[in-house]
Amino acid sequence: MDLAVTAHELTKRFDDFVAVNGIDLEIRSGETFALLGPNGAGKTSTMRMVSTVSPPTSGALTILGMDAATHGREIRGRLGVIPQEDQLDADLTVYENLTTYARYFGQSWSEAKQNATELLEFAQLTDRADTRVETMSGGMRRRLTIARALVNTPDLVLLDEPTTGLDPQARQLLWDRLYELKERGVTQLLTTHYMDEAEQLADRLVIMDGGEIVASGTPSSLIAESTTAEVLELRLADDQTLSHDLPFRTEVLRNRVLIYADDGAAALRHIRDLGVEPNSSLIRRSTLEDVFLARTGRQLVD
Amino acid sequence: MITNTFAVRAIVERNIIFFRRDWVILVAGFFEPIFWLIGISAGLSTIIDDIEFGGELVEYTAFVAPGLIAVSAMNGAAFDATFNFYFKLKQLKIFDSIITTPVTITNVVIGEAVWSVLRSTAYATSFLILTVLFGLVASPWAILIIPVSALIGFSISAIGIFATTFVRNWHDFDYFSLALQVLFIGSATFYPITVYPSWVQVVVQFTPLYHGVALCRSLALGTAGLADVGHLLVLVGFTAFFGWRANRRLEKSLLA
Amino acid sequence: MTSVSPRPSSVWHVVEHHAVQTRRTLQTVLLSGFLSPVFTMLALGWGIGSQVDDVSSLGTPDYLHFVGPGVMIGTATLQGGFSSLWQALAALRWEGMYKNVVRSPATFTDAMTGRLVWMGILNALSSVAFLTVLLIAIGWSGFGALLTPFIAGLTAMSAAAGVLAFTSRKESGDGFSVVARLVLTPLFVFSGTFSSIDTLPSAIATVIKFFPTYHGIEVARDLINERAELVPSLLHVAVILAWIAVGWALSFGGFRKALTS
Repeated sequence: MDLAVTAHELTKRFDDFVAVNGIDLEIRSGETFALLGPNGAGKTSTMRMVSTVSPPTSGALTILGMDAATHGREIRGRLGVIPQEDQLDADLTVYENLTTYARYFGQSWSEAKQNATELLEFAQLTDRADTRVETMSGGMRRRLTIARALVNTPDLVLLDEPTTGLDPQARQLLWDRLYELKERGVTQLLTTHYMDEAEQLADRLVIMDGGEIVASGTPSSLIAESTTAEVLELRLADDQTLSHDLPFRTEVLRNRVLIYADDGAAALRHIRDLGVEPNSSLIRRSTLEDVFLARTGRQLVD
Repeated sequence: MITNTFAVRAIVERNIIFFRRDWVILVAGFFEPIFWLIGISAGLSTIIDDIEFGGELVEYTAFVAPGLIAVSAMNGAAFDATFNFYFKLKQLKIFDSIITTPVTITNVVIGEAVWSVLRSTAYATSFLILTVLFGLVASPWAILIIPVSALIGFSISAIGIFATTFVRNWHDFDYFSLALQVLFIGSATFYPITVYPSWVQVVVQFTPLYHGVALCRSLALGTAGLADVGHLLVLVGFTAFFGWRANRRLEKSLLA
Repeated sequence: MTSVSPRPSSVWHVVEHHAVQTRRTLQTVLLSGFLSPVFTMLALGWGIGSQVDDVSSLGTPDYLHFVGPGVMIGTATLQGGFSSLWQALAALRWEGMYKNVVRSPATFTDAMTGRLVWMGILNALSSVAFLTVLLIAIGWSGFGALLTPFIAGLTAMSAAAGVLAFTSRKESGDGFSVVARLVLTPLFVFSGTFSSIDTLPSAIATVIKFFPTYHGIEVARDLINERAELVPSLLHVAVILAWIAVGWALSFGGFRKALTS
């Protein structure tokens, strides 16, 4: 199988802090692969190593068939990087951001201008071409950042927390653009701490915590392996307690109790039969959030 | 695959695109040394008789003018290598995104330096033409002031970028303004270096602008000699050492 | 209907507010308002002074006596003028400082007046430090010299007021560097700072007499050299005060629009 990225025992250490602790990764060409985990899990450090701007402390890293340690420039020529902070050139216009960036890949001015025009269309920013970036909304900046990353028609696109800080509408618009990229067969590696984003976009993912991979697979296989089909969420009054010998796995969080059962409605009946009437109850399907909780005992987003 | 030359050019182009809109800033920056030339030497030439330089007597204005050409070369480079460099590095963070392309940090440093040197050379050349028109230049060797101003630009740029890698916040640029003023006034621009006590003369040898002033002056007045080779080498040394250090420090911070 | 004439107590609150802020930017004052001009004065005073053949035409005992007051007032012009560019724009448009002022009983005129008074005080204070160095270098020259920080403060206020008339109408910093380089620098250099104004090209000399810096330098130089006469000095000061008044009046509209709409 054609692999876009392989990492073996990849490690990144800053002085005595281990950001990434010997992880293995195999990302296939054409797939969308996510690194899911809370802040500080080592996602961004991994991403920076893959974009060849951060040399690994140890381990092997091959990107698009080339060794990251020796072929950085060649690799970067075929990557599209969407950093967490947009890092756009706020002094320039939207159009100039794209053309100047295209030049960094060695494109002629005519190529650069043609690419810029096409990408403005893709990012739905054509009518903003001459706007100074300074004055644009967060959602538009993100779309421009994505357009910029595509200026060299990359084989691998890296997205670091692509929708952090965006409102729901801007988020959905961005997901649509990324889905379109996927349809075109572009390999995508993204980091996120939103489980819904990973579920929406990723074909496969790894869950990271404390610099290590705690689980990997497709979103549905991870859910199937680590948790039940449904979850019953209860809010109890202060004086209410649940008995400890329920026939379900339970997680007690700060202000609610999660009860893992394949049939949430049946679980709720069971609890009512025990004489507990919760203040509120909600039955939902399991998500990657529950997988993370099951594997680490902690919540993804506090 | 992109070549280093192309990468450097791309960095320079970005600055040209930006300043195309703000060309007024470029033009305004050119006038400052000319004001000083008129303000100081026009008035003082009536009360200062000729100055002795290189064994010859030189009219005061002709003595000051080439020094101010060197100052204009310094001013041309200083702003882009410090304040604007910091703005791109820390505020816009565009270097972080540029290094994810095939362009390297060394390309960025050289490209930014080349841009500031273009500005230096443009200022110094325009100033040189003015001084020729006013009859303040005595020697055809003065044409070499153009490459010398580029070298002044490179050395200031290298030192400026190096110093900027230490900047923590905008307030630190107060020190830069002070340093520029001290270099401007103190580099024997307005009087011969022999005015200083000998220990100050030694200190001045360790500053870049003094050597630029000395070179421009002896080229304009036609007194160039072996000492000027020394001045040249010092400027080359400043450029090489601080350019190297600046590059290393940026690599360490950006490629963490 | 709020009164538009400034109330001393409210103005003083704005001054105090600025004073508290400046404690944080003391470094700027120390470096740009004191060390830089002191270096310039001493280097040029002694360096150029050693080359001057004909001191008598200066009308002062030596060149340091001449250039010292020039640099003092020139610096006050630069500092006052600069303070009304980006700093004033930030205070007026981006930071909440004056917006908070007008939410208190103080009005926009108090904010504006307080700002100018503060610039005067700040520059008078840094000029005291500058004067101390100058007097150490040239020796005690009589009590008149002690009035020069006051002249420096007024000159800084006049430059601040003049530039504020421009800045108060602006919503961005476009053109600020042009004002700095093509207005403030020439004022520093051409106001008879380094040689008698009569030795400059006559066109420059004519224009420069219209601006406050020249008048400030004349008074300060006369005071330092113990040759000040009452009436001419008062006339010079009157020009500076006129600039403050006109700058204040022309800033009025911009401040009102920015702070009360």
